[in-house]
Amino acid sequence: MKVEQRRWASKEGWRPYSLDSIGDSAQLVLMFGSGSAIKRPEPAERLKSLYPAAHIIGCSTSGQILGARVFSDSITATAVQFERTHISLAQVRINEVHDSHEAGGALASAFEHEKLAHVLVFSDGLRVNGSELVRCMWETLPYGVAVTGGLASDGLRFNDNVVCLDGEAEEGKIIAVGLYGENIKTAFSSRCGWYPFGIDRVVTRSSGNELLELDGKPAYDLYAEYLGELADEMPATASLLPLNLRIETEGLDLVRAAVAVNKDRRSLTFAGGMPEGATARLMRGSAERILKGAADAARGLQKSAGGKPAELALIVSGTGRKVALGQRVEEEVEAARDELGDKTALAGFYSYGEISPVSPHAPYEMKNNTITITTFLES
Amino acid sequence: MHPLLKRQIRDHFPSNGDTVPEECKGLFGLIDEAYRQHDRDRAMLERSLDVSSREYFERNAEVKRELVERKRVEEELKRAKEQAEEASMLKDKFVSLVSHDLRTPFASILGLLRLLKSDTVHPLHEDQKALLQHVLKIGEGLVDMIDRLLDIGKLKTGRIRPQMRFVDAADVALKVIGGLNHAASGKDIKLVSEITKGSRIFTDPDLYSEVIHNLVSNSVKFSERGGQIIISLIENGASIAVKDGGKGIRAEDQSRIFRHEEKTCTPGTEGEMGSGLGLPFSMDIMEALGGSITVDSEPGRGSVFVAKLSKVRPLVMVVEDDQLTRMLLVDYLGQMEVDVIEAENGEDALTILSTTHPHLLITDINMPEMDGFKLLEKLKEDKETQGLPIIVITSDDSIETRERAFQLGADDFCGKPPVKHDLLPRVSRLLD
Repeated sequence: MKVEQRRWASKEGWRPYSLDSIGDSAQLVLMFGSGSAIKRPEPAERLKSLYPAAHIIGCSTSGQILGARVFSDSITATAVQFERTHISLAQVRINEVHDSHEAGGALASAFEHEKLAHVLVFSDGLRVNGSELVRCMWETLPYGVAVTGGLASDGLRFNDNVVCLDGEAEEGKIIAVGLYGENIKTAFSSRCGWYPFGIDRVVTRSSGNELLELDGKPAYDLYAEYLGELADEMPATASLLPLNLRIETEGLDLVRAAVAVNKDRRSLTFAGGMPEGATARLMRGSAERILKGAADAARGLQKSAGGKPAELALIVSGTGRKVALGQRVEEEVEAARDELGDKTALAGFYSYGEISPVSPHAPYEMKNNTITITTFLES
Repeated sequence: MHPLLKRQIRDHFPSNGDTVPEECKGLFGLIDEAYRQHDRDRAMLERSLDVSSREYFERNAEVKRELVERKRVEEELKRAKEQAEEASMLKDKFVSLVSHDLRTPFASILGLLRLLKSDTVHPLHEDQKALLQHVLKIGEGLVDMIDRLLDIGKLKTGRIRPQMRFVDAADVALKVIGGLNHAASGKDIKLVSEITKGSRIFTDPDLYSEVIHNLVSNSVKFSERGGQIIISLIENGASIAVKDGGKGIRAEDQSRIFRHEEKTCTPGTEGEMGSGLGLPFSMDIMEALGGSITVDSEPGRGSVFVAKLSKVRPLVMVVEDDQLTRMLLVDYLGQMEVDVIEAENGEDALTILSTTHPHLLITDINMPEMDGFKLLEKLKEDKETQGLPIIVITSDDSIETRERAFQLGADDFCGKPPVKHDLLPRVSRLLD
């Protein structure tokens, strides 16, 4: 596997970020950008001329990770040339959040299951119920094939949310890449570092992703009370108070962050399902714990890939983490790099939802405010 | 700009007033943002703590209120239960007392009436005799009812305690048949026991016989003239079943007949009356014996009543220090339907007996730590083990040793080395 990385800025265009040059032998380019930048057609067109044989996929993000740097207003590109791995792409479009489960099924069914080793997925982050999407993928894909990836985002604007495939940036799109063959080795890990505080509450009224009431009181009012004067800046500020959601009947323990508010309905909409009866607790993040979470996620990943350093690591981290870390955000990527070593190229983005199984062979889950790392190594 | 940063700039760049050099503006912008984020985080943390503490306080107050309320309800329930129990006990005592005070004069009245009836000096007219016979019959029925009430009272007030042991079910059946043959032959009904001799069950023989007696007596009452009642063991061999071809019981009545408060009293096929307390009392007994009564019946097709007991395999404890003899004893006992538990001396046996309750104990005399005599003494001193049958087994079969063993409460004696055809019948006899 060979990896070449570039960064685009409006004044400078595409600039190389790594020494390798793979040009027309690249099969896949991962492109992550800010919402406003990635919607412009020229960067993708220019990228296509640099990597004419490659599929260019990606999404809008709240921050772009390249090496140990985090950018806010640029586009990053990571071109990959697989030597003994075959790839295949699938995409679906979604109009209504209720169609998320079905979309997951359609996406997973589009792949030939024979020799499928791993699936990467990038999805719209506002119109999709991430947990339903991955639930149906888990039900459809063969046992032993893991799915990792994330939901598109747009910083705290919650506005430009697109997923791109070969120059077309669209809302409501979900793209998946299937990696085939025995030579591709992937490892993944996900950690949080946010901690719950305060009393347990029960989700007493909800509808899909929309949380209406906790303990019989409007969810919006609870957040407004906790945020005080910062309440006016919701949903941006609500990402600093995610919910720890426990669904005992399914043995699930997840982190969910709000992506939208509806003041009239006094509700908050989250990136995944908020089932009634689930127990919820507010969470806080401190820089120290968030950074420790990043190091913990990266630790041991190289070992699980057989001791040989991975050629590429995809980091998908929660937008809430970026907000909480503020100017220290790069320390999170540095913490991961310190564990992974400098032989592995790092690429990734800040998302509205991180996708991975809790452990190999466990069901896939969509979580918030976590850092999820997937490493790739071709033997 | 953040007020602190503003002050710091003023103090560090006095010549510039409160502005910063142009080339540092970007840097100070970042510092300003970091200050603000720090302030925002701190404000949010403090606010979270305040709101969260208040919520905890409110929730704790709610939990406290619930606890107080729950405690109050619990106390009320406890008081009500105590009152109910006390009332129930008083009622049982009262019934038992009244029944007893009623029975004595009533029995005397009946005695006097019988005397009157059989008076040969001043014989009564036939119609007077018939009248008296009728009075006697009603009176006997009443005494029977008082007897039942007395028995129920004794069971409920704990004055009757079951004495469980192994008994031969065939003996129970024969005893019951003996007691009811007269009544049965009056209706030309045949009482048949299908239980073979030596069928061991674990129960209180007197109480269990009473139950079987009630069941067979009921069957006689509800069977047509010329019928047959079969007493047998059910499949697991631990319980007796009574089967008749009588008029049967409707499904909806099958649970009522066991309830005291229902006191169902249906006349028999020839108008026989009863107290209606027989089955409820039998159920009380069976519950005291750790069992129950089941009924399988259909109107017109007869009934099968089973007085259910748990199956208990006899447990024999062998106390013997010599391993070879112990193995031999275990081997012999293995040929009977019993379980065996082993102890190496008296001390060891007492430890095991504190948690295990065998039905028979076989002990050697000469053993280290604690010998057989000492063990016998200890067992007879303890209320729990007083009734445990004991066979002493020893190579010293002198008269003195035998006598001492029997004086200390041994039930049987056997020479050593033990001989199978000598030992097993003794075990069998004591288990039954």
